[in-house]
Amino acid sequence: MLSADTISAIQKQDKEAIRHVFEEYYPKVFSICIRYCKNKAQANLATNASFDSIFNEISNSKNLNQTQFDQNISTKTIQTCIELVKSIRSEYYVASTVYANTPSAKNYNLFEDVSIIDYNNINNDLLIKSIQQLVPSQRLIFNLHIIDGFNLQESAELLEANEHTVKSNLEKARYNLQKGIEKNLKEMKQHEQSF
Amino acid sequence: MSSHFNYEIDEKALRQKMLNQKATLDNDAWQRYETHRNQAPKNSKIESAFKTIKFSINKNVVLPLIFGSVIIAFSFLLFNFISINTTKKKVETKIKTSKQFINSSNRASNYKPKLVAAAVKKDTIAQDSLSILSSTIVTTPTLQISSTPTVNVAINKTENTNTTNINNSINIPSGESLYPSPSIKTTPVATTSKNIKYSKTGETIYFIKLEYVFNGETKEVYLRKSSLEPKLNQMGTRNKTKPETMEASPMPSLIDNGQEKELELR
Repeated sequence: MLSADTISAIQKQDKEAIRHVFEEYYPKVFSICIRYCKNKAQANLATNASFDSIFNEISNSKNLNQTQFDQNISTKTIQTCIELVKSIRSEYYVASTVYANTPSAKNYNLFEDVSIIDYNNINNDLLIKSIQQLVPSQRLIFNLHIIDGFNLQESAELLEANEHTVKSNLEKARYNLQKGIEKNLKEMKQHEQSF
Repeated sequence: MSSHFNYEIDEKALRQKMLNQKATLDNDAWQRYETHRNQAPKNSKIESAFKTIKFSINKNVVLPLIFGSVIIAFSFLLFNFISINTTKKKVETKIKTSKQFINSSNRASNYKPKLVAAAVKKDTIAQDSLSILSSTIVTTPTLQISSTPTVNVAINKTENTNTTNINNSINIPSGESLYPSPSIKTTPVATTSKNIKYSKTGETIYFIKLEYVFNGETKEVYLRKSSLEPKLNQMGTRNKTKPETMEASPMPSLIDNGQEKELELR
């Protein structure tokens, strides 16, 4: 939690205070950014932008409530991530219209592909990788609604989209995430077998 | 999407897993942020204020703009049909007001008119102005308008003359012949010396100067003399312009051949 001295030091642009706050909140902010972005490089950009907005808020606000500030950090980070992802228009508006490719069941081998996946015990890195592989619009709504707990109306307002569009994207995200997890697990197993 | 799809991910567990996950602090993270902070230009308050203003172009903005522009354009089109002619001369407006004043003079009871009519000649200036002599003859007749008080009519006549044309002397009309209708008795206010002769260099236009008192204020208007004369002909109707006559004559090319003669309009 931020102390009053730290807040006043940040308002005076004290470098040490800024670094202290950055190191304190970096794990929380980066863990949010890595979910919303497509890779680590984009997550780093989002993290920097998020901290910019956080420090701007501290320096601009006169009476900063400390508990309120802790709650606002995640909201601020999410908003920054959404802005960053949506700002890459070529990815956001083009890729969002692409439907998931359903694998053809023609060559399905009943004896080879029988593998029960326990989705509750999946590695975190694989889960994050699968989320990152979603198209931006689906990734955003999945993070907002499923992980961060925003309802569909709030998500639609944040994404500046229609509620029906958001709902449709969510259904696609669920489908694509499960298929992505299956695919990534298979690749991981193949990679392990090769060694 | 496949119709046989079964969604098996436990979202609550996934949510808890994601929320509990905390990234480890990277050693280069602060360095990256510091370089980013140094590179980024410091935004002024005005720029940040402009960034907060979000103007999104969507149907809620575009449609009212289109309808507004159509309404403005249509109203402008309609306004063009209404012609408000503001290029009338001031003299004409004064004459109109003076006519209205004369018509309503009998009805008006709250003022005492004291009319002074003056005829002023508007003449062309002679080019050879070495020894121009000007003469002024002012006549002050008395005009009686029914029950209204006495009206003084002063006739100012100014004429520019050239001494080279001595033979063409101007005839000053006598008092009653100057204004046959209405009959205004004119008396000269001032005259020039008898020996001087002057020539007429242009058409004489007479104006009647009317001075009257309205609500305690003395006002003056100029009334053209010709405006008082009747514009109707002897039959009491307006003069009509003669229609253009058209002659019919045969075409010269057809006369010699003995064919039917076509009439040519000229």
